[in-house]
Amino acid sequence: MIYLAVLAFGVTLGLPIAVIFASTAQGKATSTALEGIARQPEATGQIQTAMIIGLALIESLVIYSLLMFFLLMGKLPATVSEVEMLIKAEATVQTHDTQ
Amino acid sequence: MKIKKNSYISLLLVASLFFVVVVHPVSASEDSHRTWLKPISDLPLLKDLQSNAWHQPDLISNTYFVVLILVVLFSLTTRNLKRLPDSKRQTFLELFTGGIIDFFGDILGDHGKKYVWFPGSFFIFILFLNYLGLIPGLQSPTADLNTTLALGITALIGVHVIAIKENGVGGYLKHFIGDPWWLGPLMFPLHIVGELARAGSLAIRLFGNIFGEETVIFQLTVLAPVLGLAVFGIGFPFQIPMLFFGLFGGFLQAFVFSLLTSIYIVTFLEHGDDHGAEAHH
Repeated sequence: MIYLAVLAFGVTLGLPIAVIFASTAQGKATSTALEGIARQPEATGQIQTAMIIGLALIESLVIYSLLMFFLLMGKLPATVSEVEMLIKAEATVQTHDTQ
Repeated sequence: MKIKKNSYISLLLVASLFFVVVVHPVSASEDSHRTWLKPISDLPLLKDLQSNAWHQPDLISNTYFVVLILVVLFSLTTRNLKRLPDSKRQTFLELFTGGIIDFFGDILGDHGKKYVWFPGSFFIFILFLNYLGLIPGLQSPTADLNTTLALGITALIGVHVIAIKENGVGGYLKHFIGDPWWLGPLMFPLHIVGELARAGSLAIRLFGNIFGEETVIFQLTVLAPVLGLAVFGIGFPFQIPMLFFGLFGGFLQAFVFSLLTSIYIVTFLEHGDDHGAEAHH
């Protein structure tokens, strides 16, 4: 049961932590790009292209984390009856071990 | 420069060949969705290749549907091309193709301009693959890890074949060893793992983005009867804003995939540019 609890924590905490750092990085990239556009409006096209590429690369790291989320979510029990069955199975294993 | 159409048709065929070879389901789940191409998928040949356990059982039919659309579209619109264009479709096609050639040719440099249609055809193919999921009743083949892995491996093999063609086998291996030759045994496996990681990251980036978009669109579509009908008495298509985002996201992912492929080609071509400059003088 501790396994299920820790798994639930892993599933819920993994993606938001990745999102926090990725959004900070993307905010920095966008703000620097905006400063560049403000300084030299004629270079807007190139700066925009480079900014979009940078944002897509940062976002892809969050997508890897999303993939992990989908993989782990498949291992969580879906209904309450499944959880009860797993707890009962673990209880019988423990009684067998102590005997 | 002659615009070769055959290069991208051969790319489509190679990618689909890899596809059929890698056809074991990477992730099987109970909630599979069928598309409108189900009658085509029930034909005896395709029925054995696909499986209802997949998340997208009509995968091969969807992919070949996109191939069919591309072939029909581009063969019908490139009839009677004139040297000085006077029809709107020819101007539009020239704009589209010229834009791709300019953009990727810029990155590849003078020495690599002849390879501009390798990332270019990836762009067109992946764009249409991504946009197929926005049509109600169809799914994007790139929402499945099989397709994106096939595309990533094809890109990797293509980049390395171009590298060997440009640098020769000796120069190609020398690129793996790195600058100080005595660090060679350390850098060689590192570079190999790096190349595999590049292919994997291309695949997973494309898969994650498109599969995530599709999942969001699907969940919003499911929301309409639950929220709309039960609470308000009328179902509202909540997924429409996400479809617009899907237009932007699909274009962006195709763009990033082909851009990264062209950048990987350039990292292998950098030695070639010096020889090219010397040869001109």
